[in-house]
Amino acid sequence: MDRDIIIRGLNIVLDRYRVLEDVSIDIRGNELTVILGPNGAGKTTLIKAILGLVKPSSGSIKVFGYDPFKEGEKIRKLIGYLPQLEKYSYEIAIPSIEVVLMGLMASRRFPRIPSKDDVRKALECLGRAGVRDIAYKPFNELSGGQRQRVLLARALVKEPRYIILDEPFTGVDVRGQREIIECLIDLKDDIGILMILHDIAPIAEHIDNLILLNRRVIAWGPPIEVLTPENLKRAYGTEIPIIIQENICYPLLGDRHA
Amino acid sequence: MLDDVISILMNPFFIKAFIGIFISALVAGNIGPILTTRGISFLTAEVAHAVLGGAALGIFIRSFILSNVDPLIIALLFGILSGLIAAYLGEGGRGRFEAAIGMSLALSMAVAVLFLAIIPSEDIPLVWGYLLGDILFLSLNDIILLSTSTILILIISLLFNREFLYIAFDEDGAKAMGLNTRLYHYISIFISSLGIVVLTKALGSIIIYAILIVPPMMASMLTNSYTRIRVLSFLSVLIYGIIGLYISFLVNVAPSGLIALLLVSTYIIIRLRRG
Ligand SMILES: Nc1ncnc2c1ncn2[C@@H]1O[C@H](COP(=O)(O)OP(=O)(O)O)[C@@H](O)[C@H]1O
Ligand SMILES: [Mg+2]
Repeated sequence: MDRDIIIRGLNIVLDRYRVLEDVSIDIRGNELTVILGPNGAGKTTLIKAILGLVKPSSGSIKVFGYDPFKEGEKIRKLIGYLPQLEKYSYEIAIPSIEVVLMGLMASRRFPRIPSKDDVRKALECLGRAGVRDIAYKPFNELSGGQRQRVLLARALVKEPRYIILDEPFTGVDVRGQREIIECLIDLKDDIGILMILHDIAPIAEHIDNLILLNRRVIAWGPPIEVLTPENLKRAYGTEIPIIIQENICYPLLGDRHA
Repeated sequence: MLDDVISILMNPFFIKAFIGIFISALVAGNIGPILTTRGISFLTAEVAHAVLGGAALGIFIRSFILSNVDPLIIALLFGILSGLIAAYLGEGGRGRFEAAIGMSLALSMAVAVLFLAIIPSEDIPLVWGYLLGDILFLSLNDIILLSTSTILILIISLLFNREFLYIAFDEDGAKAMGLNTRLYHYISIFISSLGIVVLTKALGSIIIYAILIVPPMMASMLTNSYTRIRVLSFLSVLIYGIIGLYISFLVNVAPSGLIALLLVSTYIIIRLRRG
C-alpha cells in the first residue's frame, strides 16, 4: 500500500518549549500503527499536527498528498479522530446518536439539520461499533468502553480512510478494551488505524508498525525490532523489563507513564 | 392585603422592572449555560467591569463631544469589544484566555478610573448605577435597547444551538471534523458579552456572577439535559426576580442583592441536601 502520511524533519515549538524535534516517519494505510511513549512525549501534539490542528514550526507533513495545516478541509473528510476521553465535557447530557451525528454535521454547511438518512447512517455505525442499543442514552452516563465505541461510530459515519485514536484504553476496563479491539480488528482491512497508547499489552499481537516517541523518534518499524531494551531505555529514561512470548514483545510499562 | 399586592403589581415602576427581570431571565437562561459548559465563566467578571469603563467613557463623550449619545450604547459596545479582545488575546493556548481576561479587566478598570476623574461629578452616580443595576429606573430607551439585544441573543443562540453544543462538548474533535470552531467561539463570546452588558445594566455588575453562573450550576445538579438546564436557569432567575422585586417594594432594599441572596442560598441548600 501507499504511504498515506509522510513526515519529514518536523519540529514543533509551543510556548517556546520544543515539543517535537526532527520527526521523520512514514505511515501506511491498511495497517495498525501505534505511537508509544511516556507522558509529555509529544504524542498528542504529533497527531494534532497530522490533523492540521497544530502548526508545524518547521519540516513538512503530507497526508494523502495534502498539507494538513493549509489544506485541512481536504483531509478532514478522510480522517476520523477520537480525542482523549478526558477532553470531552461530561457536564451536558448528549444522546449518543447526537454525538455520532456530529461526525456528519460538523463538516456540513449551516443550517446543520440531520436528515432521516443521516439518522439511519448514524444508527448503522452505532451498530457496526456494537452499541446500537445505547443510541438514545446520554454519552456522559456510559462506561469508558461504550463511550469509545460511540466515538468510533462518530468517526466511521464519515466513511473515513483513516482513523486516529488518542489513548483509547485509558479509563476503560479490560472488557471494554476487548470490545474496542474487536471493532478495530474488523475495520482494519478497509481503514488505516493510528493510535496513541501508553501500554501496548492489550493489542500487542495486532500491531503492524510501532513508533517509539519521546520528543524525537527513538525508533520505528515492526514492534519486535523497535522494542529493544536500549530503545526502551532511551524512551523512558529507565530500564523497562520485556516479556517475549510467541514472537510478540510486551514491555512491562505498568504505570510508568504517569 | 390583596389591595396592597395589586397596587404594587400595578405600580408603573414595578411593571418596567418586571420587564427588566423577564429580559434578564431570558438572557441568563441562554448565556449562563454557554459560559458554564464551556468553562469560560470568568468572562462574566471581565465584561461586567468593561461595562463600568464603557459607561464612564460614554458619559465623557456625552459631556464633552457628542451631547446626544446614549452612554448605554457606548457601554454596550465597550463591553462587547472587551469580550472579543480577550478572546483574541486568549487564542491558542491553555490558560491564555484566563490571563487575557485578567489583562482586559485591568484595562477596563483603568479606563473607568480615568474617566470617572474627568466626567462632571453630578454624572458619577450614573456609573455607579451599573454596580447595583437600574432595574427600578430603566428608561423606555433602556428597555428598547435591552429588549433588542435580548432578541438578538435569543435568535443567535437558537440558530447556532447545535454548533455551540459541539464546541462545548468536544472542541478539538469538532475542529478536526471540519467545523469552523473559531467562528462559533467568537459568536458565542459575542452573544455572551452582549448578554453580560444587558444584565449589568439591569441588575448590576456586583451580583452578575450569581445571576449568570449560579442558576446553571444549580440546574445541572438536578438534570444534565442542555435544554432543561436552560429552562431551569430561566425560571429560577424569573421567579426569584419577581420575589426579589416584590420584597424590595415592601422594604426598600436593592432587588438585585435580594435575587443574588435567594439564588445563592437555594444553591447551598440543594448542595447540602445532596451531600
Ligand atoms: N499548547 C501548548 N502550549 C505549550 N506547551 C504545550 C501545549 N500543548 C502541549 N504542550 C506540552 O508539550 C508536551 C507534549 O504534550 P503532549 O503532546 O500532550 O504529550 P503526550 O500526548 O505524549 O502526553 C508536554 O510537555 C506539554 O506540556
Ligand atoms: Mg496525550
